[in-house]
Amino acid sequence: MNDILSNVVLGLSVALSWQGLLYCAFGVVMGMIVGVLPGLGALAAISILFPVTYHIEPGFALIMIAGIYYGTSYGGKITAILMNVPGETDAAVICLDGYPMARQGRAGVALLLTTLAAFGGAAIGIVITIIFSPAISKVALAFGSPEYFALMTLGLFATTAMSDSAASKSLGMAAFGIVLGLVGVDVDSGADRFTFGLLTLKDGISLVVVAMGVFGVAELIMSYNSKMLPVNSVTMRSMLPTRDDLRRIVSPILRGTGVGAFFGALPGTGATVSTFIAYGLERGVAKDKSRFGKGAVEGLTAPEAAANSASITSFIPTLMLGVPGSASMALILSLLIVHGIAPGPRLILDHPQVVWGLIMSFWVGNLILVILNIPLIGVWVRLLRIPTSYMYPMIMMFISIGTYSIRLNVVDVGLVVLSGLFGIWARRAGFPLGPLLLGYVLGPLLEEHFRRTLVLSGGDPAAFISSKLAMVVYAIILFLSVWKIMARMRNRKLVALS
Amino acid sequence: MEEAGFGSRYWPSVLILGVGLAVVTYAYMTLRMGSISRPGPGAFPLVLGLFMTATGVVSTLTIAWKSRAGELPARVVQPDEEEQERFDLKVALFVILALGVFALFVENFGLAPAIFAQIFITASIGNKLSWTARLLLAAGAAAAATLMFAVLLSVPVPIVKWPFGR
Repeated sequence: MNDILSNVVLGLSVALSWQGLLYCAFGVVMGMIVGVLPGLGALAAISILFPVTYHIEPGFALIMIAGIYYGTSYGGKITAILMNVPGETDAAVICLDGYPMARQGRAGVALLLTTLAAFGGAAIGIVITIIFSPAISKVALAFGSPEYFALMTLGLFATTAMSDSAASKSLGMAAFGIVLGLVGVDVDSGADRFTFGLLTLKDGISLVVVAMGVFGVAELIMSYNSKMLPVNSVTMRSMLPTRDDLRRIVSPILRGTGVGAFFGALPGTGATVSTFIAYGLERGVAKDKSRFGKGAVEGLTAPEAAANSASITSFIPTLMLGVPGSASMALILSLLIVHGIAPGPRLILDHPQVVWGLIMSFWVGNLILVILNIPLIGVWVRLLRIPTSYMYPMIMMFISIGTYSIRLNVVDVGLVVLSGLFGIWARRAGFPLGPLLLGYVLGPLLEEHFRRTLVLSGGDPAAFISSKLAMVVYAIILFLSVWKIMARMRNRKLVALS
Repeated sequence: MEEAGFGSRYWPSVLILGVGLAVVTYAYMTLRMGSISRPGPGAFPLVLGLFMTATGVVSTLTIAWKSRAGELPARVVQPDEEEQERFDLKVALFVILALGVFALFVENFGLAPAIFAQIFITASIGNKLSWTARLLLAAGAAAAATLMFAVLLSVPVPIVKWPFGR
């Protein structure tokens, strides 16, 4: 108990410093803006602002990038409720009952209830993170290279199993991401790999450049022509819920939070999957199922609570094990690596102020988001009326300066264009881009543990499955692969029938 | 609606197979493999390439086996077809042009002119804004970019520069 208290105090001293507050506020505001803009996702926002973090202390950089990540989820629900257009993938479920509420003239109430649900989910998620993080890092200290190799392989396979695309396409993209990560000089032997004699490739291909291209540039081009519908303004008065609303949302929020906290901490699943599961669960336990899809507050609040608790607990495996569960988390992990901080179970021991500062900044960020979403809701509704012709040039500015400032090299701007074109091609061809990023970040770590396992065991391939944990993890991978193949077959049959 | 021929059904798998084979060949030809107890720089790429090749082969065979059994629909359904319709070549060309102009200007004329030119081009997409609005937006962005990156974040980049006859 004393430990928890001293950690909390340490974290607060970082999160409540003026830089902590400033970067947290900047992050969540950026997250809200991107969340509100349909077409641009959290990944685009994180990659576009990534170069800015090179000039900030790592602890504060992490606070800012995390703020963007969970801020988008608050912003994404606004367009989902008002226009039936999810600003973010985790807000897709919010459309189901949020938009009908708006059509019944209860848009304000829907916005208030989702904000309450989001805060509730995040708050419990933060408490879970505070309690479990030290314990998980203690267990993970005993892990060796075979265990890490297994866990990282699981991370890649789980993302593949959860994506909508064909398994071969996601696996292909993950492997291609690993290949991209191999480009450059091998640290171990000094040999050039995949550089084809080009000097600029010796340092490798920057992850930020790839991410900025495939998400930033590609999403900008794809969503430039998206139409903004006219929206009515929302007043504070219209947000007042009935007593019945408040009574109904308590247990859905708690159930949604539980679902989100669990799936958020697992690799590959994350916020979006947990929203669908939370919605299904609410429908399942409801006495009157017919109300769903017509403005049921349960179907609105449970997924929102799930999304927000998942976005907090997904930091646990990323920071404590160094195994990111999603592409956004992979970017956050690479932020630490860029700043020379090794992720893994020693992180919380070696850099406690970074970890606890981040966790306590979640409180600050979520409180700011509540203020942004209740008294200041009108500002965001007005933001929706700004034409894209004004908004998108500004995003272009961040992309170009950001890319150039990484190495002060114009070649990187060219590489962003190339990755942008690749991103558009991949989207149209149905190749998912999340696994590409995850593969890129996990690739070098995967190789390190691959080599170390072989070196330490004197070249015995059986070393990979020597521990119980590794065997369990490979069993899960096998199960996921079989499950994915079965699910695809069922889908194919349905398509063939229709 | 077009009928799915051999190509549209097989090409993603064949592509993965091809990249996998390329990685294997590259690793084998140019990198040292080392021994199993001392893996060299080529060992991991080789394993990765073999994995990609295997994925490609398995997926190609699965498709072939299923289409013989008549289990596949006539046309491969893409999950994000709405996404596809929104692609606009003109927007893409303008964005690429704007990035290219930025790259050309930033080292020769400095940050502020580069942003000005780039934002002016981006704001011209689709002729939605008046000339005054475009100029104001470009000037505002140039000022904001200078303040944020050159002054606040102190990125070492010249703000304005004259490339000819220094």
